[in-house]
Order: sequence, then structure tokens, then C-alpha cells
Amino acid sequence: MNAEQLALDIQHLKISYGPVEVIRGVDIQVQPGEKIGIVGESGSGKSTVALGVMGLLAEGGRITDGSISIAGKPVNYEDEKRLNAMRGKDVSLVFQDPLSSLDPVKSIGNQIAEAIRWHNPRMSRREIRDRAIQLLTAVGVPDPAGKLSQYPHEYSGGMRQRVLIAIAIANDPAVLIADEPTTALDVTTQAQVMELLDSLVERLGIAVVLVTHDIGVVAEFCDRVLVMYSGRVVEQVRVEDIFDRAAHPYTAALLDSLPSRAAEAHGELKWIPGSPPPMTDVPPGCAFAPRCHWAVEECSVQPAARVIDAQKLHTAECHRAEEVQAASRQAGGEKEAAHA
Amino acid sequence: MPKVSHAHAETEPADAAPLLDVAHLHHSYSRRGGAGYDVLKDVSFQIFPGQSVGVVGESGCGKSTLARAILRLISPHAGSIRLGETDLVRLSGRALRHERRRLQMVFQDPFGSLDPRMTVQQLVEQPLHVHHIGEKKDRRSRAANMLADLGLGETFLDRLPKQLSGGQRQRVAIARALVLDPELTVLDEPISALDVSVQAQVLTLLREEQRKLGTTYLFIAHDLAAAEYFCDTILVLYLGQIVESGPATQVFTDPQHPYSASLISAAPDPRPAGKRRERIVLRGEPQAQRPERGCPFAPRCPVGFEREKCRSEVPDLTPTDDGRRVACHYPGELSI
Repeated sequence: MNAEQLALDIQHLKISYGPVEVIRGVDIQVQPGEKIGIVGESGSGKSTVALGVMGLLAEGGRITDGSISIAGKPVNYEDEKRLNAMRGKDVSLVFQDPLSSLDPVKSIGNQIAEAIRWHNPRMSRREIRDRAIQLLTAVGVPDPAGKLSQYPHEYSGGMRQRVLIAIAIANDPAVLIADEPTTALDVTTQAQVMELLDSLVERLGIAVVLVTHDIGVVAEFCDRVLVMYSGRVVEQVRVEDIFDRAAHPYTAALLDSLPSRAAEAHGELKWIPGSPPPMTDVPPGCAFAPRCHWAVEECSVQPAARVIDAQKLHTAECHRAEEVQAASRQAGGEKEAAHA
Repeated sequence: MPKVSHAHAETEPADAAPLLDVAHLHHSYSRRGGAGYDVLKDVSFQIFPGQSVGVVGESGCGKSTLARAILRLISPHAGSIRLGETDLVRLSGRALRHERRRLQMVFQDPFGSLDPRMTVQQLVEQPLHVHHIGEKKDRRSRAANMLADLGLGETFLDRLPKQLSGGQRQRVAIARALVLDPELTVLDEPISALDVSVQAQVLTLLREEQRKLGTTYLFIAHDLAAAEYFCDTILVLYLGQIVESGPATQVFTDPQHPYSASLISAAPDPRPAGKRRERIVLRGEPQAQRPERGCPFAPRCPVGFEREKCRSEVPDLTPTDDGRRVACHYPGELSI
């Protein structure tokens, strides 16, 4: 892989809040136009990675190690001026809750115009207005010219999320980060918004990082999945391989806890005993080991990422990755049999 | 493991009496200077003892209003809600309080529904105290036993809610409801605030307790996969009306109403591409109101959008041959 061609290249990233390390060495590479999903439970660090890339870490948070490059350019997170030029232009972010991300006292038109003007200070009012209408049309807002003067409360939840997507793509970013973009929406609206996002990024060639807790959304939208646990990416796998080739016990356990899969196989729901360690007290070695039924003595040493497939697209940080994967394949085969 | 196989509401043998019989329930929220809007319109269904009945539908469909009406947290404007022999709609004051013991609720948010100053032990004892059940010592042991059943042993008894994880809090909330041995427990999205791996645990514990105590659940669900897994019977609500009801396996595998089909097809499906359901994308925006004439779903319906009958006549909720009820002029035309 040529580093200069990557849309997003995160190397050995570490992020701390005060003395507490919450991202403990994360590598993520995203090709232009590729859609990756980051899944994990609350506290796994998936949103922190997203905020870290944007340079929007909360008070006290800082990048302590590693590097982030966007569209081939290394980002200097100390330089606030450069960050402002980067946000929205090279990388943009869509948050979960469209109501609180929009300003309630500014018209939708003004909010889109603001995003355009920020990176195009010399554009005329007319051009900005035309571009805003063009963007609203692209995201499927009906009667875009008429809607420009309306306020966020006059839009439905799904339409607000479309506006946020319009703002996010306004300056043709190389990377779009979507942090739980449809969690606040109803399923039929969620389906519409994800479909829209899919066709837009395809057409514009934008790389997407989708941060979500919903493996179903990832399965339908993404090319590749990264599973996070306690501040590390424990498995990276192509979406078509996650279901019956999971090579990390945590991924396999997450899949087993999904009711839709249990209902399909008429199986029992399984859950993961215990809870993730507090980030102030992560055990040495594999952080999942205390909850893992595959754990052996050597798990007290942090496993390196093991490459599972020939194309090097599938990696898992587990000493027993090959055995776990064999079990997943067997379980997948049994599910197949139960289904047939 | 086979599903807990209670007989289904719509096919229950004639001799079994329903635990809950909701008939022609209406409720409207009035608007300033205008006619009220019916959030629940002619809702009728029965729940039999030991069942789990799921209510699915999107925001604004009336599922939370329905739960609140059954618990009599609001007073519905018309219709009846019979719990055994008692019509809850007609009760008030002390009589209502007395009956409330038979009905309990678990709320969505375990962070907002527990008093932060009370210990786990106190939280679970409180409902017994309120309903004057048992002596103090007896209450202590009942609370402790209930908590132990839900996997919260002695070490948890003196903890405060803030010292618990989300899943542990929700187990305390469930203990608070079930310690009264209610006949009907309303679960209002009990797992939506929890992480996936914990959701499975809470669903499993709820089911185990049901087997043990014989309680009946009304499960208000946002998550369709959880409803499919957990419930025997499903009610699909659209704009305050039941559009389809029937055994969960039938409704989920072969929905008859186009709205049920669209809803089920839209749920993100965590399966490999080849096995996924084809998604039906609805027209336009979610409706806030029913059209003046015709089927409420017609303006968004892939089946009835251009059909005169759907645009002019409201379909009745009609029993089908396979023991379901469907409110559609052209049931089964849209399949998943």
C-alpha cells in the first residue's frame, strides 16, 4: 500500500485523557472511496478515534503518540489554524443527533452557506446559494430552494440528518466520518439515510469511516470492519468474512449475542460475562483475556496482530486467532445446516 | 433451544381467559384551537397468561401511549382495559393503586429510573414497602432473593446506582418490577440503552424469570430483532392503529401488511450479503397524521399508493385464515 494514496492513514495512535490512556496504539488505513466500519461497545474508544482525527478531543484529551495523515498530508494537531482549514475540507464529521448539531436560531440555508463560505471566502452570495440548493437536491430534500429559509425545527429527523450530510460533503472532503449517524432515527428513515449516504459517497468517491454499535448497519454499508475493544483494534476483517470467519474471540462473542442471529438459528442468546476493564486499570496483555473463554497463560502478553488471510486484509490480535477462526467457520457451517 | 412455546393470542383455545383484554381503546392529545389528534384509534387485542406480546412501530405510532394507558399513567378517552375481571379505565384513587400492584413497568433508561441516593437493597425493597407486603425482615429476604436470581449477589446490596454498570442497573429495575410478582409487566424498550453484549443477558434473564414466575410481558420494542427473538405474539402499530397482529414467527417471516413488510425489511440485518432481506424503501417522509380519507398508510405504501380503493376506504382489521389480523385491502401482495 502506498501511504500517499491513502485517504486516511492512522499509525500507532495513542490518545490520553489526563493520565489515562484511552486509545492504546491504533492503526487504521482507509483507501480512497472505501467504506470502513468501526464497531465496539461504549467505552471501547471508537468515538475517541473519530474525534481525535477531527482534532476535536474534549478538554484534557491529547494525542500522545503516533500520526494521522489525511489524503496523504500529515496533520499537525497543534496548529489550530491549519485544523480549521482541514475540518470540512479534507475530513468532515456527521454526528449522531442532528437536532443538537444544527443551530436552532439560524436558517438551514445560512448554516449550509456558512460551511461553504468558510472554505471559499471569495464565493459570491449567489454562487453560495446555488451551491446550497445543489447540495440539498443531492441529499434528497424536496423543494430545496423553498427549504433554505426554514429552521431546523421545521425539518423532520431524517431531513435534518440529510442537511448534516449536505454540510459534510459541501467541500468535497476525502474522508467523511459518521459517528452513529442513524442511531436517533427510526428504522425506515435509517434505511433511507444510509441508502442516500451510500450512493453519495460512491458518486463522489469519498472514503467513509462509520462509527457504530450496530453490526447490522456495518454489514449492509461497509467494505471492511474494525472491531475495537479497550482502546485497541482487536480485529480487522472484510465484511463478508466477519460472520463465519471471526478470528478474535471478542468479535465471535459479539456476533453470538445478536438476537437476529439467534432467532435465525433457533439458538440461545449468549452474552459476554463481566464488563470491559476500566481504562484506568487495563490488565497487562490482552485486555479481553479476563472475559475470554479461549484465554491461556500466554494471553498475559499483548498479542501482535496476526495476519489471517493471504491478502492481509484480515488481522486479529489474538494468540489463538487460527483456532478461533476454525471454530467460527464450523459454527457458521452448523448455522447454515440449521437454516437449510 | 426451542422458543418458549406459549400458545399464541390469536389462536388461544377457547377455554383460556385472557389476562388482559383491551377493547376499542381511544386516546387523543388535543391541540390548541383545533380538534384533538387520535394517538390511539380503536385498538383492540388480548394477552393470555404467560405470553410475551411485542408492540412494534416507529416513533409516533402510539406504542408508548398504549403502555402508559394500560398502566393507567394516563386516562384513555374511550374503550376498556380489562385485567382479569377489572376494567382499569374505570378505576381511580385507592382502587387503582391497589390494582397497580398487579401491573409493573420497566423503563428504557436505567440511569433515570433509579433514585441515585438509595442502595440496591432499598430500591428493590421499596415497592414491597409501598404496597404493604410482608414484614421488614421478609421484605429484605425477598428483595435479596430477587436480586440473586438476576445475578446480583450480596456484594451488590449496599451499592448505589452510580456504582453499577448500565446492565446491572437495568437488572435492578427489573428486580423492582418483578419482586411484586406482577401479573403483567410492561417492558418499555428495556434493552435499547444497553450495549449489545449486555442486551442478550437482560433478555435471557427476563425470559428465565418469566418461566419461573409465570408473569406476562408486554414488550414495547424499537429493536425488531429483539422482538422477534423474545416475543410470541406481535402487534404492529402504525399511526395509532394496529395494522397487523399475529404469532411472531409468522409476522416476521411472512408479513401480510405492506407496512410490516417495509419495517421488517428496513431493519439492519447482520447476516452475509447473500442471506439478507431485500430492503423495501418507503415513499416520502414519515407521516405525522392520517390522511382524511382512505388507509392511513396509503400515502407511503408501495402497494396502495395509486389504488383508488386504498385512497378512499379505510381497511378494517380483519382476521385471516392463519389466525392473524391484518388491516389491508391487498394483504400479502408485498412480500419480503
